[in-house]
Amino acid sequence: MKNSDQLVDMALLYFSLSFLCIGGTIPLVPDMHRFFVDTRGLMTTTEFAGYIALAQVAPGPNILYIALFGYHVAGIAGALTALTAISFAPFVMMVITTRMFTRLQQNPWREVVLRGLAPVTVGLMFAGCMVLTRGFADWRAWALAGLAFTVFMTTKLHPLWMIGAGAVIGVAFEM
Amino acid sequence: MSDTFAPVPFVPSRSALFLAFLQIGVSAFGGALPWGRRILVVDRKWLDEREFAEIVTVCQAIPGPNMVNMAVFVGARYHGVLGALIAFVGIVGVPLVILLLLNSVYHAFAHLPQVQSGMHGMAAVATAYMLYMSIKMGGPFWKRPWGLVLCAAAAGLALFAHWHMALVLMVCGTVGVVLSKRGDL
Repeated sequence: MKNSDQLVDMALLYFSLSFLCIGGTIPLVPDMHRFFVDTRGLMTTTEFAGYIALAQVAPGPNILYIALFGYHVAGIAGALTALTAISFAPFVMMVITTRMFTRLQQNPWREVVLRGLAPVTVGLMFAGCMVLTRGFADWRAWALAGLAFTVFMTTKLHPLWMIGAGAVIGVAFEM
Repeated sequence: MSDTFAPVPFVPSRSALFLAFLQIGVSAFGGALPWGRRILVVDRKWLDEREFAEIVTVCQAIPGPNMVNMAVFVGARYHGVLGALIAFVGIVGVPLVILLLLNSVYHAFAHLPQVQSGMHGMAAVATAYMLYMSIKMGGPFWKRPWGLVLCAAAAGLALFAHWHMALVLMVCGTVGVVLSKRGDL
């Protein structure tokens, strides 16, 4: 398939997902993984997970890994397309929201809907984590992830330090 | 000139808007919200604590990452659609350039086995961090049996039944909103 076709399909994917990314973009990971890895074979799960990790060590809002997926597919044009498409619905909705802020803020349904959606977005985030574990090479990756999870749950250590430590451990144990 | 001192509502200039969100974008490692609070509330005093919290709750109800939504909101409030674009480019632009540079450095050395090993280690930790964040995000529903069932159902349908997210949100989301209205979540 030509690159330009991939670009258009990716733009359509992110445009449609942009209406759904309640609770950030991490709940979209299963859908993105299906597109880039399972259906299109544009990258491996390891590359997919690597881009998410790379975006964690760089500054900025955590949608930027989506630009890396786009860059992988079609260079700078891909990065900009992915970022623009995923931002479309949030941008338009937020601009409209400024005009009806108090009404939305006082609407009793806001709390009801958010409370009802929370378990669903968290479930989708879990599914995303499970999808990423498919890229784990062997038990050592599971052990490292388990260790990191314990540290995150029990300390207030900044994630950046842990990701740096992950890189060092990966090199030291030739993961 | 009259002798009244009615406070003029403060409107930051377009360049000040751009710089503030650029600063937030560049400082934000692992979550931009704390930096947004520090820069908009503590340093610039464009918003007070209560306004900031209120805007965050509204940003959560709209699709998109909270801090990017807040940039659009604050930009639009002061300078309309153009302001929203300025704030958006401010928070996303420079971090995007940094990330693309980092990415090209990574790809220049990706053939080295050490770089591959390091990336595997980073990816494992990043996955653990995602799991941690999703548990933190959960909120009060962890203590409700229906919340756990719904969470497991959403994960299972996406993972094993390969449902698309839109379908999961429509079906499980509707159930969730009904449960939440009845006070079960």
